[in-house]
Amino acid sequence: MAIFPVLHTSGSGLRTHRIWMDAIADNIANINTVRPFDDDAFQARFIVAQAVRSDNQDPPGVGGGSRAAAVLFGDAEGRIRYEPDHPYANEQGLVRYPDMDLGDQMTQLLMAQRAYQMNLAVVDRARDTYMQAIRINGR
Amino acid sequence: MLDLAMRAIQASLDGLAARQRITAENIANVDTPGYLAGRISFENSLAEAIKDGDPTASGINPWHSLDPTRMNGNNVNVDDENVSLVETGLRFELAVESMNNKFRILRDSIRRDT
Amino acid sequence: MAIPGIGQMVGAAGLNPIDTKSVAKPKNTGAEGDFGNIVVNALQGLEALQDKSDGLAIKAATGDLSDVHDYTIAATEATLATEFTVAVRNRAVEAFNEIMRMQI
Repeated sequence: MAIFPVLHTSGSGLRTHRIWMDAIADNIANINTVRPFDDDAFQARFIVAQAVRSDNQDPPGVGGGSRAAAVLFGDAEGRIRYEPDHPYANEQGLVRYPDMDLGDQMTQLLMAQRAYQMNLAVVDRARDTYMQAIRINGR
Repeated sequence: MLDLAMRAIQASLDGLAARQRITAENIANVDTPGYLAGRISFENSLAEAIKDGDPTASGINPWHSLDPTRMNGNNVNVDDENVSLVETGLRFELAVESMNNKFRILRDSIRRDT
Repeated sequence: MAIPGIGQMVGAAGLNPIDTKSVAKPKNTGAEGDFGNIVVNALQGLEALQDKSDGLAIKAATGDLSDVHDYTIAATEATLATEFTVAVRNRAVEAFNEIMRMQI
């Protein structure tokens, strides 16, 4: 983490938001995944982001970045639908659909994408800044 | 003719160039099944060699990352490789600039016509 | 109109003789002002700057440097100090040669 700390911090941000986008993609891909009534429905994935303590203590608390600490699973009940023709339907003709809102997932996708782009912009700016510091002695 | 600092910078240039190559190889193999990301480490070896007074005796050590793999056995993380490219490029630039500074000082000392 | 002599202008009309004793004399070449010592001090300072720059360059090579500008500012200082010292050296050598060429 030594010589260009900003790059590692932003790198961690890129990693976390890419994992978030992976989770959202997983949710959206499974929006119509049906499960039998007796099983749990497909549960939405929620990523828990956590701040990382940095190695350097100058000043303390600054510069560790973030990480995807854990995945939480959403509602197992799901939405129960009446589809008697479905192969998974039980005697009453009920199946479970996941309880996710497509609009909500798309909003999260926009947020994740925007945050990813912002982290890339930080990497870009930091690279320019360090480049100028390297050229202090004139080129 | 090269003093300790210049030999240390030269050794670091070798290490950074190797790291740049392996990062490019990782990015090219981002979808190859079973491919484990390659890594280069040279800083610790170089620090030891400098303490002993001979930076040219430092080594460049390739190893494979044991990060968790995806379904196809590949564990290359594109974001990590991109950040590594930027960082290695900057450090290479810095090392080249250091070398230039050393030579500039030598050259200035020789000049007779200021 | 009577023109007073210049001697009567002293004091009353604001004219005072120059006090030649209070004009500052140039500092005589004591031990601190010796050109040789100036050059030696400059060289020692230069060596210190170059060592500092080298130390930071080695830290940068092994990846231990946390602030890049520390190294580049030290390198700039070392470069400028070298150029300055070399210019002084060159002038001193020129002056010496000039003097040696003088015919007695």
